[in-house]
Amino acid sequence: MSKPPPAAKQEGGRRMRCISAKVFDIDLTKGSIQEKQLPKEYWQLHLGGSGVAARLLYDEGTYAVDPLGPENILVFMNGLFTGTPVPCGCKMAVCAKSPLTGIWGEATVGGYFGAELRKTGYEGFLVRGKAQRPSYLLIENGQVSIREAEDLLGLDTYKTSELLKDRHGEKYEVAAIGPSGEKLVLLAGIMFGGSETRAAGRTGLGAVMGSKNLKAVVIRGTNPVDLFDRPGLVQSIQETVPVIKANTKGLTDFGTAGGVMAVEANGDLSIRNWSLGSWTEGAAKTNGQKIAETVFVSHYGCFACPIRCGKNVRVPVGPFKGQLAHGPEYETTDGFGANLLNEDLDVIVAANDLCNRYGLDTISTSGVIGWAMECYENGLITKEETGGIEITWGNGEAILKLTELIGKREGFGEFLGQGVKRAAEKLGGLAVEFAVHTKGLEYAFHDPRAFTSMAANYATANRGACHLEGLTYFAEQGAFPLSLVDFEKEFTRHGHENKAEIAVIMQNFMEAMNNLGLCKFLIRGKDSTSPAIFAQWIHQVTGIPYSKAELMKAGERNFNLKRLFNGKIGITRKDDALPPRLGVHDKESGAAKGSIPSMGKILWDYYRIRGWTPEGIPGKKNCGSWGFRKALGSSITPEGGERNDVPVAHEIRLHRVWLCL
Amino acid sequence: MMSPLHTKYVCTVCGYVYDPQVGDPKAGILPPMPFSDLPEDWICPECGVGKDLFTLLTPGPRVTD
Repeated sequence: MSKPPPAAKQEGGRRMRCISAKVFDIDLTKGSIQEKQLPKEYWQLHLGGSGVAARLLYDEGTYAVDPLGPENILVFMNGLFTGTPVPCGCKMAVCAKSPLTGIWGEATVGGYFGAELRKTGYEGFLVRGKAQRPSYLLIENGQVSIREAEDLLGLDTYKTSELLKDRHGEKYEVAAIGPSGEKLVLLAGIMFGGSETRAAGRTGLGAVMGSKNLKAVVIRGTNPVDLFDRPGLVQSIQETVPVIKANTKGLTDFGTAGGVMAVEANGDLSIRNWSLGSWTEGAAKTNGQKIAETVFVSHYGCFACPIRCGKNVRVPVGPFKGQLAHGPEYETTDGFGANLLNEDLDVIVAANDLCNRYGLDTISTSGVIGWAMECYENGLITKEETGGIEITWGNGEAILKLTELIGKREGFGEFLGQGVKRAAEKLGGLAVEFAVHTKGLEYAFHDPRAFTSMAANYATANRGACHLEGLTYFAEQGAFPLSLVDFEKEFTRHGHENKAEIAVIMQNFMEAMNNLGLCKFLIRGKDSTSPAIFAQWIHQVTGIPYSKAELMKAGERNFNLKRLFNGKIGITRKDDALPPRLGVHDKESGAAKGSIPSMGKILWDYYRIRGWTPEGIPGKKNCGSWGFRKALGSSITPEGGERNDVPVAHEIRLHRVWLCL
Repeated sequence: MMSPLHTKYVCTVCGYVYDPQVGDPKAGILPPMPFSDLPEDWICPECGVGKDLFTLLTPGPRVTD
């Protein structure tokens, strides 16, 4: 029998360090603030972040609520490593039922807010109810107050952050919604860090915050972070960081947008609303290298980050010309560039800045604009309906105007701001063919026809068409060695063999990374940042011995838990699909020419590996093996496939009447 | 041996270099301030990690014309 690790023995075996398991439960309707002590076992089972949030929201039954009603609960939750010195341990999760998709909603965000939350001594906070008047939350260590925010209404996220820092102090961190969140635009996110923006962008959580009359959260913590084995962790970090730096130099120099040309060469870029296969000359004009040559001002990095991929820029055109802003990431550069056939980098930078100011998700916003341009080209949307705007491909003026209108929920922007799925259903016919979404979420800009494991990932990802839930295009290109997650089989980029297995393994691993609060770029550290190392860091941070197998199991558990949440809303195989543009049409040029993912085969394999029924429902046997009942006597059951105890997901009571064309 | 007032330290996470002759004015640390005299709760102004993630910056060999 092996000896227990000396450190664990010293701690009496299982006392968890670093994690307080305390959260604030804030009811804006009642104006009440409660401190809740959650079971520490949640962090062993779910690791933190969206894993713990999923546990809370499942148990609260928020799958059954109106996403924009007061009964929806918005959870801000730190990952297990957030705010510790673990490299790239900067991410926190924001979760709720999504008003955009009607299913599980989550967005993760970097920056410094999560690190500040760690120093308060709390893991996170739940916001329920609806304030009678516009409000913001002030969190200072163990004190929370609900403050008047009438004077902040209508301000953009930069101004809101600036004003609140002036009021409370430069060391306070701010999360805020812009005008789009206030007006319940379904593409609204929550923005952190003012003009050095980091965004919890996806799934419309800014609208959930707006529905609660909550304009911002201001936070400051001053408590030391308690680590179990600080010297051991510091030594491990110092061994790891040089490898991470060496493997991420391109990200450091040019940011995520530095990858545009390589992505285009792989046939992985969305071009002209996903309809074209190559755009070499355009990609050469719209990328991170060009940003470095033109509008770049300085580098930016999140808490404890050795990569520092963020870029501060000066806005070259548009209403905020000359001002400092955060530079566009890869997704934004493709979304407002190749996706719209826009070769003008200045317009991309300005559109990104507008999204950050108004509080919009850049992926969904550029996605819906691309859809509208294709509809306009085909006569499905007219100039009269757009308010006189010629929404033709590559029209920079129109791109900026539409972004502004979506952000303000004005004119034609009100129609687009409901997202591509709803907008397409209103127009019907060909407009539905042009709509690129899964489960109501616009696609991130990595093409599943280029790396077909991404087809399995997009179809099954719990928040809809999310690239980060699997990140399998990293793995297929060798940027992350699959041998580190014990996958050694052969595969080809465009084939279907073994793709479901890659997707399942990577989804489980990425889920665990997400729950730990780690930035996904950490996997660029190759064998220096493997699941085994993360398990070692869990022990060094908490004192709880943890294995690679337990880490992967926790990821599997949390992924399935979110599927069970969605199952309560009626999500089954029928929803695990690619849109026609990606699942039926192939490309006529480029590296992914002729590729169509074999979804029938891939999904069959996927469900079998997951242990789900052929209808895509987690099986009862597996539910036991995930440890819900055994460990905690949980209420969680695999009854997702039973025809719902909840009204249809998309019957969301919108608080205003949408413009109907 | 360099005096503490001329000894630089580097953040092993992000690469920020603390120079006692520059200090960290945004955090109220005015020069000259040796690294060893920084408050224990001082954090890296670039990435936010603590003093224990800093190591002595070893100067490279001096190059002469």
